[in-house]
Amino acid sequence: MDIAIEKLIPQRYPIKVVDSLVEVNGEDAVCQLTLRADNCFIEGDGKMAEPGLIEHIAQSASAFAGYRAVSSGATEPPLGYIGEVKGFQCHYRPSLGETLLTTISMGPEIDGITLISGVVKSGDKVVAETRMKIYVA
Amino acid sequence: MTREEIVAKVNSMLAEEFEVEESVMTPDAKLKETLSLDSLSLVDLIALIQQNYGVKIPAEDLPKVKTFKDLYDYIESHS
Amino acid sequence: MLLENKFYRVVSVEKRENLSAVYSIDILPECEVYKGHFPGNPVCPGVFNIETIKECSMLLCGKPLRIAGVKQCRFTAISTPEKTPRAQVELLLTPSETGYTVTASIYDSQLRYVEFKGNLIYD
Repeated sequence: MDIAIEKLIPQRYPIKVVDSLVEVNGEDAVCQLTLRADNCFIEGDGKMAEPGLIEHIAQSASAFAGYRAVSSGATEPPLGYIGEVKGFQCHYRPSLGETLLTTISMGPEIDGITLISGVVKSGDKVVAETRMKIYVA
Repeated sequence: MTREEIVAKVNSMLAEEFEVEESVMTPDAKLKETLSLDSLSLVDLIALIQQNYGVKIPAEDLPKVKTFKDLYDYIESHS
Repeated sequence: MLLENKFYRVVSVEKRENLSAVYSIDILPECEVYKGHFPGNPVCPGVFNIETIKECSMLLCGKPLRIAGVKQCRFTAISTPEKTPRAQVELLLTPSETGYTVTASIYDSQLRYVEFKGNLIYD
């Protein structure tokens, strides 16, 4: 999709960990990130620390929410906060140069709290997955 | 799906998700107190029902779903 | 360590029985992350608090650890370097077959910011 990611999420260097929103399909969306040395989660061994994967899932969900907001006329990307992470599993830490494709599924929303689930893949391998609740301010 | 099947499955799902003994889930018990629901875990409850029964409980219907019996009734009449 | 002396600095440690301790940390306002989180509006990233819990757990047990799973982590208040210059990281490590089950919270005199329960494994 040809919308600049900066229009969809408020995070910037060095903590911006989504490159683009690739597709939106109903309640699902896919985001992409190629790991480069310019993000603050890369450890000394060239691999991403696990909290970086949680942040990547959160920002992917934020990009999806941002896309919906922009589609309905918003000019600024909404500011979202993680309320809860539940059932996060990290299968391995991805390395510099790997490209992550992350599928976000939007669940129900009650009182401004939205449940999302995210699965991060690199090629055929599942890197990490979690459920998460996000407050959108 | 019979009423008994709904009750048995809902109770076992809730016991696993909220780590509460099934024995405390009597029909008249309050969902909120029994499962220690707050605004965050309430979303889990809604999602669990939606995923397993395809029943969406909209925010405006929540005040009607107070007890376990209310929840079984809601699922039965909407699925 | 990814964040020690960049995002936070350990000021003191109070070790308790077994693998339990309270780390007092300073939140460092000059950390580069605030350039992007968010421009002109510095807010501590919630996931940095998770990494801080992991790093303090490593300091406590003296071994490198990885986060294999987070059972539940709740962010109950927003912390900022301005409003939360100092915080306490309370940890309890329970040995498991592959590492530790870690129960942790981050708080100051006013608020609780994070409640964490997860599975950290030896690296």
